[in-house]
Amino acid sequence: MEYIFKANNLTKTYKRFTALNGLSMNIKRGSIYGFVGKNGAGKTTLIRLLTGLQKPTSGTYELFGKDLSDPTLIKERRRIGAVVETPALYKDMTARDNLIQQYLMLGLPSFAGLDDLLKLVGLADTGKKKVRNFSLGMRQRLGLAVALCGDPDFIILDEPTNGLDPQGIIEIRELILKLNREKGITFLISSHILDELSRLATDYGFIDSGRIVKEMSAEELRNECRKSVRMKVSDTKILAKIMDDMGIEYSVLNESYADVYADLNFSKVAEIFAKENCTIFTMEERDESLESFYLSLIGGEEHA
Amino acid sequence: MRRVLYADMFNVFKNKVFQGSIALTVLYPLMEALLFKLIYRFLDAELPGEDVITAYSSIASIVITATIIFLLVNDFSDGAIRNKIINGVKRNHIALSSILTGAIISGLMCMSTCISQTIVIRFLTTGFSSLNPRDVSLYYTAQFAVSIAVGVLMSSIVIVFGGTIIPYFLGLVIAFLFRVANLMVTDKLYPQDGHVMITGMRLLIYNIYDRFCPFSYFTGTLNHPLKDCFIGCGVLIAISILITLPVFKRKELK
Repeated sequence: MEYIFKANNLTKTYKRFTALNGLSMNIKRGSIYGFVGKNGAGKTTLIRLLTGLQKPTSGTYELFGKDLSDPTLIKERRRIGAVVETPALYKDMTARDNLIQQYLMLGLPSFAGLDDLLKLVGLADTGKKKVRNFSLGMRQRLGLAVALCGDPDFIILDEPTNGLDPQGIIEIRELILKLNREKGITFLISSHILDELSRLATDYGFIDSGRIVKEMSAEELRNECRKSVRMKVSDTKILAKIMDDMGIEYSVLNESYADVYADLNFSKVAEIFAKENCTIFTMEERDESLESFYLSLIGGEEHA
Repeated sequence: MRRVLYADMFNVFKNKVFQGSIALTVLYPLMEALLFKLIYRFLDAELPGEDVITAYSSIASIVITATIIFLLVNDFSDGAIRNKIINGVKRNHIALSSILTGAIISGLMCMSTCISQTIVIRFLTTGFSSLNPRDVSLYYTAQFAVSIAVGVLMSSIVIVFGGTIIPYFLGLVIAFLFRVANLMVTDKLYPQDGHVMITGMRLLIYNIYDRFCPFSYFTGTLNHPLKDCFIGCGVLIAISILITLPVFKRKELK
């Protein structure tokens, strides 16, 4: 597995406040990594370290396979595009001039792709309108266009849907998915809007109090959050045989527990298990939403 | 670093504040000459070129300071500096590019003033009575060097203190204090009536300030060889850069 970013035991303290506390995480190449955490959990601090705006107090990370101490890491940063907190835009310039500015800064040889970029983010018809007069949503889209200059391999977006209307959110989401699928761009998207992230992310990292409490793939998360029946039985091997015969999807958790993904007729199931000489101790319906799963990860209702 | 400087200059030329500042440096000598001409007409006298050539220098440090600080502070607050770091530009290059941008802005402001003054003197005054073309060119050269040195200092202040209110406060306080110091030193070293009354260490300090401090050349007269002016400017530029680069390298940005 190739990783774009690997953090190892990162700690960042500001005077007496510890923003990151031994954080370790891995971002796979080609993934859309949903970085989830409440306000103040450490999301933006990690992004600041990753982008080189700040240095960790201790710990290290690798970006594009280069260690933090590697002097050539700075060159690798040219493969990054980012919108950290608010888009970095020149307010007295037009959308086009902002992109020209970014092209010049990156030393790109021509402005050929500039109009395509504006079209891609839906700002092709803004003409001479200054960024100062743009709505928040237009600024977010221009910020994304600036981040896309120079065909980056890795894009970091800090709360990208902030201030966007529902239509804008859909457009940004589809754009991210398109870029990920067609160009293979890896995304790190920090957000606390779980529903929005769940429509995008292929991998998740849940952060709380400066630590990653759980990293998982979207599939693992879907399984966690699927409607299921958790069964405690005397023998999960027999359970597996019965479910295979019935054509029902299931996952064995250990020797006693298994999750079954179907609406079960309890009496019928009990009858079949009795025939197979397998005892059902408990059956519990589980229907966990993404939010409740997240809350359970970061310590329950105190965060609700 | 060239590409960063190129991008910075693109931003500066598009900026309304810079365009306004250049317009001010062009119009100020003209407006002042017209005002003086009116006063001289009441006094039934002709306007000499010497009164126009020194006009802008009295406000130069404040105008340069305000323009540079405004432009560069915006780079910090708009996230432009942050964006450069994210995109893998070396911090030294970012700082040097900002310092060079400040120097170019102040140099351009000085040049536009000199051109405007020359045109105004040619058409609205009787010309110079005490200055020859060599004196004028030496004076303009000194003003240009001093403007660049002050531009570098103000850029450095912004880079060290970032996009906060501190650069505005500190920059304008420095410009104001040196303006007061200039008046004090001029009054003591070049009294209107009588002799120089200060002696010893005080005289030495005043002399050093007058010879080597770039701000002292904003008094409107060139009292020392150009070499002294260059030494003062060179020292100020070197100190500014030597302090700024390591501070910015360690600076934590948000």
